[in-house]
Amino acid sequence: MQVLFINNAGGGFADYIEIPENITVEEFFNSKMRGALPEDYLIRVNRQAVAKNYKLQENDRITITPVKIDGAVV
Amino acid sequence: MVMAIDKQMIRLANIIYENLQLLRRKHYATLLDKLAYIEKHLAEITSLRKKFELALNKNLILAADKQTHKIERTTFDIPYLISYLQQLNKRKNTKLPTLDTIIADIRQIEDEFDELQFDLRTALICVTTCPITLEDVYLGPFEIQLEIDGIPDVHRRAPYKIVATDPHPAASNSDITHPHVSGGGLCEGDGQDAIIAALEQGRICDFFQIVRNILMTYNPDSPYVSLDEWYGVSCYECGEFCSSDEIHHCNFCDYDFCSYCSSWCRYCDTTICNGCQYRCQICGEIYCADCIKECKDCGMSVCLGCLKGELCPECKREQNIRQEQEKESQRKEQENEQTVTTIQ
Repeated sequence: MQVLFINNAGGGFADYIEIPENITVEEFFNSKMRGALPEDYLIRVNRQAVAKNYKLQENDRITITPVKIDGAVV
Repeated sequence: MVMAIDKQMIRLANIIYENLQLLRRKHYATLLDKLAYIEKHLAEITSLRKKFELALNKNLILAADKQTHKIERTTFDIPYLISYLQQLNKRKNTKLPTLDTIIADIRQIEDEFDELQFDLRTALICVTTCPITLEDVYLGPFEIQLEIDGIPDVHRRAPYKIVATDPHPAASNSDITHPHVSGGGLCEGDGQDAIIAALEQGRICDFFQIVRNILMTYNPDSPYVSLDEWYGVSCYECGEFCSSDEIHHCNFCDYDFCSYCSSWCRYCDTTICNGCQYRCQICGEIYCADCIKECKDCGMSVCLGCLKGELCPECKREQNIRQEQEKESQRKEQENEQTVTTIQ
């Protein structure tokens, strides 16, 4: 099935991607953000906070935004 | 009342949509320029190919040689141009958001932030963060002001400002209200690409979240003013907090001092604190330990400028008199010896 994945870490990836059926938001996070801790990110599905065992649906909009982003003098 | 708010929201979403279209139009214009440039290069290559072919058919090797130089020059930029064009084209393969999506985004901003304000006349959307404290330094809340009209120029300048609503600026510079904010401009650092992508794609809520998260993070490697020096640096002697411009380091005791508790050596210009300075007993000026010596005879503290050899001027004068007297007595002794010899 297809979902819209927006990753605000790094370059700001945003695109529709194919994912397996019945995947939870926790499994999705672990597969896309390898080695990262969920508590370091703001995770929203269809603009709402959801439980980690929420099963993603077709056309869901998943946004992952790092809680800490380093600013720097250019 | 609810209808009125919704109408305003729809108008706001429309303004955002129009500016996103304008941004995309500008981008496509750049793409078109680059395509035309490559097309011109390709036309030159076609012409070169014909000349090269003709030279070979007529067995004009020298003319063919000349063409190879032109081929090299004309094709040199092609890989870079193609790669740049591909990057430009790749950046825009996401669809523009619909009005519904933009309205949903605005509603999400209301949920995520305590305060959302928008002004249709000035096309400004403002959200306020919660009060921010970084490493025990209270900086207060910040208003993130997005100029919607600035979105089409997002690649040239940041279309937003950061305004401290309860400013607690750095002691050294009142324009710096946050370690990564100076004069209302945010140094985006690692968030730069994500901010541009969010604005390009009309993800206004994501934009505000990214900016807020930068404001809530301290990067000690690259601040305008580090949090260690936010309140200034404390003078080791009087304890007064001063900005880093007003604090002086004493190289002799290795502590920092304010302007009142420090001075400089009049001989070598080194900064010295009040405790590490010495006064020349001849000229009365202040010197560091390296530029003041004791007179070898009387032990008086004398600066290098006043010192005569290893003596103070007074001891040197006395030494000169003694030497003169010794010479005089030697001269007299010699004269006496000569007189005795003559009489004999």
